[in-house]
Amino acid sequence: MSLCREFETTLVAYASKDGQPIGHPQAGQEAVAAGVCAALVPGDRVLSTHRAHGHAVAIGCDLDRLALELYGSGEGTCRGRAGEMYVSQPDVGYFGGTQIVAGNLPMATGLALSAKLSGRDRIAVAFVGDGGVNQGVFGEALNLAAIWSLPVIFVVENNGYAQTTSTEYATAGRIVDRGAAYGISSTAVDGQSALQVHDVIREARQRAARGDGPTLVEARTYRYEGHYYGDQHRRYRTQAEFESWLARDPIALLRQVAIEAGVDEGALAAITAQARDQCVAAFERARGGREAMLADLLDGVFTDPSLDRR
Amino acid sequence: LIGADGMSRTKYWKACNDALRQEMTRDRSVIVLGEDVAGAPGRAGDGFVDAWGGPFGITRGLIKEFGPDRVRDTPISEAGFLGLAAGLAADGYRPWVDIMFTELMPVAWDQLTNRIARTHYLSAGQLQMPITVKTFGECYSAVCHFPGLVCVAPSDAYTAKGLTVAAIRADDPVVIFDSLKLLRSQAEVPDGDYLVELGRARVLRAGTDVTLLGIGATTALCLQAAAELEQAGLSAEVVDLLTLAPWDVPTVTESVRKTGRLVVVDFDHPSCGLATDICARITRTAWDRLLAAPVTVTPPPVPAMSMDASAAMAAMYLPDAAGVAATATKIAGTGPGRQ
Repeated sequence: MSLCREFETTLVAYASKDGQPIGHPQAGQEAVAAGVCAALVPGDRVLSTHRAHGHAVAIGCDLDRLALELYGSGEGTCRGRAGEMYVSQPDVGYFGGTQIVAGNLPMATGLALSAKLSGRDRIAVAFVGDGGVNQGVFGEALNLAAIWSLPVIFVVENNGYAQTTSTEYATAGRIVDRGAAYGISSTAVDGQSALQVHDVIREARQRAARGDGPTLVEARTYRYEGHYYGDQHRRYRTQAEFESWLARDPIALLRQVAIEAGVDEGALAAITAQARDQCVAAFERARGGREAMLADLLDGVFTDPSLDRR
Repeated sequence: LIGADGMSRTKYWKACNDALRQEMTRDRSVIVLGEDVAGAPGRAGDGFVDAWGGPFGITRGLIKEFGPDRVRDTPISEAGFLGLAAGLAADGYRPWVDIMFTELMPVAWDQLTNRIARTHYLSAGQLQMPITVKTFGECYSAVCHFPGLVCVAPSDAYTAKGLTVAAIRADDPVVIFDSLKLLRSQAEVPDGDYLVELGRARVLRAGTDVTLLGIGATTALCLQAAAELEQAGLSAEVVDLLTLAPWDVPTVTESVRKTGRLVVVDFDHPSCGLATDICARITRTAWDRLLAAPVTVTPPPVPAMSMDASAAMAAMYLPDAAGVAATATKIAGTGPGRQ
């Protein structure tokens, strides 16, 4: 969680100075990304939304190469081609985000079907926002996952807003009930509690792995920044609402639990400091990274090089 | 064109069916997905297996040979199951996906363009999308627009089998545009293993005065028009494009540099289309040899469906061989060679 937070803080600080894109901030939502990813095992597949860098960090993408990618460097994870939305690192299970808010849910069902057909102990997780639940493929993917009992978890990060449009306005009924409508095991969880998220996902993972099919988890959360960095988000959110969520900061909540459980405060501070150092080092490296060259960008449209550059 | 042994006179749909059977036998990672591909799924308990034989017979018999895990009927969720295929492909499977008609393709547009076309490139080769999407219809230009997708249009049963095999074996996503007009056409097709190489056009008939370029079902019109033109003393070369994107610029260029004239015959909508794209490219690559401006023969710019609503609509809408011959005659009457 600290790493997700520090990565974004450092990204904002460096990218603002260097004129690089910041993308879609996730500060405030870290408990969902971290809680989910901590409950997965190596080999599991994760797909993101376009609020993606928190998920990429939580699943364990290489931070140096991720920072380089966000800086458009040819040394980035995807040679500077993908940026925040499409960056992927499949060797750690990260299959990337998408511009289309529910666009990755079908692919998650395919990764889950692959696991099922090959008999591997492996599941797929698709993150989706509250905005994504109103796209048609949300329903298509839930249906496919249900009829074929696929090992997939749909994690709805309900942060209350799709860009500037409130969930209350745009979404009929309760999101968690939409899973139940397909006969999918569905749970609503406090998205500010990493431990609660973790427990729910661990159980869902066990269900998926033993062949009992998909789960939908609605995690209620909040983003502290706007839809994008620089969005005047206070124009559509009240001070009272904002403060009520700041008071339930996911990192502070977990810290409190840890302290009550007897963890030394110094050790907790060290985690944060270490995360910060790691992120600062990553962005220092990104700042000095080699810019993407034509060869980074023109080749590899196809696997067959004879089809490229035509 | 690689390999060949015994030949059989084979219908187009059967050639596609044979290609699937051959590749599914050869490679366990090939999975067939689509609406009604198994024909009455979920009723095996009542004795209904392969009861219908799949759309147009393309998947007939496969469920009995390869079982429901590999011949997988989908709900009517084109975006859902095309995206699902992307997930299978990212994990090393080779899905062959039936999107029954090109009119259904826009329903799955995001999956095809943002996901399948872009993934290999944007992941810098970490992920591959070895997917074959097969559809009936001629609305291919819009799909050809997206870099990252290989688009092909077989022109007969021989190329249908060879291109299907090439598509399934390719590590890149390939969209096959079959024509319903060719469904029952017959050709000599090798019984065994062969493939028609992606990215290559073929010259079907040599000529000196004009190049007629066929795309899928229009190749037959070009051959017919070439025979008519021969009677009138005009020598037409017929090129069969086969791969629509990325198309074979050198082969078409070579032909037009020889004849000096190009007629592209296309069943797709005319604006921003493949035919005009080919004319623009060839105008540059054959400029110093052109005897006439390259021209297109296409349907009029009306949003008709590729499935004909009526005989009158079909007659108004689609180019025919006589029209191709007339256009060729007209441009052959221009330029220094024919003055």
